[in-house]
This record gives sequence, C-alpha cells and structure tokens, in this order.
Amino acid sequence: MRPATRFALAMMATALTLPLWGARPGEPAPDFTATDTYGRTHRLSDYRGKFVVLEWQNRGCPYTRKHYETGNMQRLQKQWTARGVVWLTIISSAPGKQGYMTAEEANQYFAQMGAASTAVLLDPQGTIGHLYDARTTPEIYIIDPKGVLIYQGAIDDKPTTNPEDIKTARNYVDLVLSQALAGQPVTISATRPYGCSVKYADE
Amino acid sequence: MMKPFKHGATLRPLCIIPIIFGLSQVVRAQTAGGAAHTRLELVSDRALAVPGQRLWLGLHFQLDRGWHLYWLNPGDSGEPPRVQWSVPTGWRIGPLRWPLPERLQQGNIVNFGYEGDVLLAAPLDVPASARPPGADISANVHWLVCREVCLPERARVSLHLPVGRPFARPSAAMSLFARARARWPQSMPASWRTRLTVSQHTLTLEVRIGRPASAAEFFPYPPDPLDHAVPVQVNPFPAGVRLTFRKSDFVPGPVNELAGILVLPGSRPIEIRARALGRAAQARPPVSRRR
Repeated sequence: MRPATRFALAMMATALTLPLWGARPGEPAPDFTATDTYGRTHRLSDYRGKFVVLEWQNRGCPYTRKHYETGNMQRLQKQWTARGVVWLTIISSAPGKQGYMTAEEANQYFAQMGAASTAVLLDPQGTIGHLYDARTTPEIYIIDPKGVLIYQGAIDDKPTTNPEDIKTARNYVDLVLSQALAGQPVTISATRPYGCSVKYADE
Repeated sequence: MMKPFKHGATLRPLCIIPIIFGLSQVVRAQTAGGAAHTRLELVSDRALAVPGQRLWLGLHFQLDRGWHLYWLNPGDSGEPPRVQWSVPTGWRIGPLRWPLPERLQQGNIVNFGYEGDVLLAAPLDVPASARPPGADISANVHWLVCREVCLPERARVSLHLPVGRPFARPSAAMSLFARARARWPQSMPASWRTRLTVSQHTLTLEVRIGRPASAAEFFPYPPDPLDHAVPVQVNPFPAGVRLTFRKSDFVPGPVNELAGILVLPGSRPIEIRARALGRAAQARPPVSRRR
C-alpha cells in the first residue's frame, strides 16, 4: 500500500472511532502530549490537581493581535499563573500558514510580547487542535484539577478586532477562573468562540 | 412614461450622470498594514431626495478575487461590517438590509458571507422640511475581509444628495439595488406554519408550506444555536420539510427560538422564526423524527 493511501485509511479509521465533537464541558478533557518551544514534553494529565487554560494562538490573526497588542492576554496569563493556574498557549498553524512559528521564532516573539504562559506548545500537525475541535484564535478551554473541561469558547463577549472593546468586554477567563478558584459553581460553561479560523494544514 | 425635459431629452441624462458619479467617489479601504482588498462606494437608489419620501442608501463593497466579507451572522469566525451613519438632523436612517449570503466552508469552519460584490442597503426617510440644495450623507464603515487570512479594513464614504421636486429619478445605481433586493428575505407567507423541536443535541425545524420541498437551506440569525460543520438532514414530507440540525456545543442550556432565512427551491428567501415547545419537552429524550 502506498504511504499516502495508508495514511488516508488511517485517518478515516480515526475519524470513525473518535468522538465527532471534540471536547464538551462537564466531560473529561481529552489527554494529549506535546512539545513546547524549549523542547520539553507536556502531558495534560500530568497537571491533575491544577486548573489548566488552553489558549489557541495565531500571532497574525487580528483578533489575537487585539489581545496581545493591548497586553490583555499577557495580563490574564500573569494574573492566573500567579495563582497557580497552568496556562498552555497552543499554536496549531501549519508550516507556511499564518501564525506558524519555529520554536526559536516563538521564543523571540513571546519574549518580546512579555507573554507569561506556562508553556507554548507547538502543534504544526494540528493534532491537539483537531482533538479539541478548536476552530478559532483566540479560543479558550479551561480544565479543572480533576481533568474535567469546565469552559470552552470565546475569550470575552466582544467579538471584534477593535482594541477599544477590551475595556468594556466581559472576560470569560476571569469570570470562570474567579468562580472556580473560589469553589463556586461556574455560571458560564460554553460560549460561541470568535476570531480567525485556525490555520490547519490543508486536508 | 417619461416626462418631456425642457432642455431636450438627450442632454438631461448627461448632466445627471456626472452629478451622481462626481459626488460619490469609490473609496479604496484603509487597513493597518499592507494593501486593502475592498473598494467601497456609497450610492443611493434615487438621484434626488424628495421631501417626505423614502429612498435607499447602499454600501457597495467590491472585493478582490478570493476575498470575502461577512453576513450579520458570520458563522464560526469573522464579524459583520459595522456602520456609523452621519445624516443631517431630521433625516432618519433605518437598519441595514442584508442580502442572502453564501455558505463558505473551509475545513471545519463554516462562514456566512459574500464574495465578489455586495450591496448593504439602508432606508433613508427624507423629512418633509428638506430644502435644496441638498444634504451630505456619510458613513464610517469598519469590516473584516478574509481570504485565508483576515484583515480589518475601514473607510469613510460620503454622498451628496440633491433635494428636488416633483419626482425622483432612479439613479445609475438602481440595478445594484434591484440585484440586492432580489436577495432580501421576505416575510413568511401567512399560510405557512413552523414548529421547532429541541432535543439534547439536535434541533428540528418543521416548516409546513402545503407541498413537499425536496431541498432546503437555512441561514441562522444570531443568537445562533447551530453547529454548522455537521451536515443538516433535510426530510421532505407531503406538507413541507423538516430540517434537523446539530446543536452547537458552544450553546449551553435550552434553546427557545430559532430564527433565520429559509431557502427552498424556486422560492425567494423567507424569514423564519420558530419557537420551541415548552422546556418539559426539551428535557424528554429525543423522539423519532419520523411518524
């Protein structure tokens, strides 16, 4: 069998056996292993006992830029990692697509932006992206210490590229983590994400 | 019938065309960096504003090949254009009318938008007190244009509308409006009936139109409860059609209403608004769609 055919068959088999709709709030977050920009390996299940934020990122996307160039994303990263939250920034852009960065480029970019994620995970094959069915940047997933997904969706309630809107937006990361860390029930578990499409490899 | 012109029928139209084109210039959009991909023009369907009457203004977007912009519900990504109008005191401008969009799919992302060109129109009520020479109308427009990547663009466009009596001539942009109007959704015919059944993961919209419809397409208005990446099941029955949608995982809790545009073969786009059965019905396990 030609490798391409074998790959296609494997993909079809995967598509049939995997749940069709990524992750769902209230259910266990799908586990994954990924490599960060320093070559370190991260397994989601190793972070049991902590809250974890997954942030899908594309430096060229105007919606992502809105949150990075105003410092809003870095503020969220600093504020919540300081309280023990693990923040994983994930880049699922394929090589040649908008937002793709090599490890070195990513380290330079995130240092320059003053980002404060726990780690930046490189996902050029889109494996984690497809596992979660992440569709946009910035898209947010929040996982509780038991490994259960407690939030998926938009970063806030203003689906625009206008930086001015950040001041008046209701930020869902702040909302969900404030409630969850205080041991309160989370009042919003899913919202429709907004932004750019994730720049996966062509199918 | 045309009213005879005092100065000769051939001369008059020649005078009007330069007025229309001379005062409404096509503006290349501005963008934060790089080249813009849209040209925008503000047009009106009448060459003259008649006191006490309504005319239509239109934002005519012309997009570079391969680029698109978004409908009022952009779908899984993007955002619709936003407009801030500036009209003289006493002139009243209404909400935008959006022509039927296209469904644009790229991988697991489904968008509703426009390629090529689109006219977004708004009604303008000219006050009875309007007097010559006329009024300056302008619009500050922000939009997102995407191909594979997206760019925010903006432009300020303006138009001088001469006030005239006793009749309003159609403008050179009339055909643009005719094309847009043909794609405006119509109110639902009074004889049609809708019903929405919601289960944990699906929504079924039943539309009774008095005949079977073998195909159907639906464009949801916000707030949009649907997962667009999952194909819609279209089931015709003798009196109409049932569409079964996958409910979006991003929309927690019960769905009480589904609104949007229904397109059936051989029919103008129709605006549909369907209320769900009571909450008790939603809590029940899904029942079979076929009877």
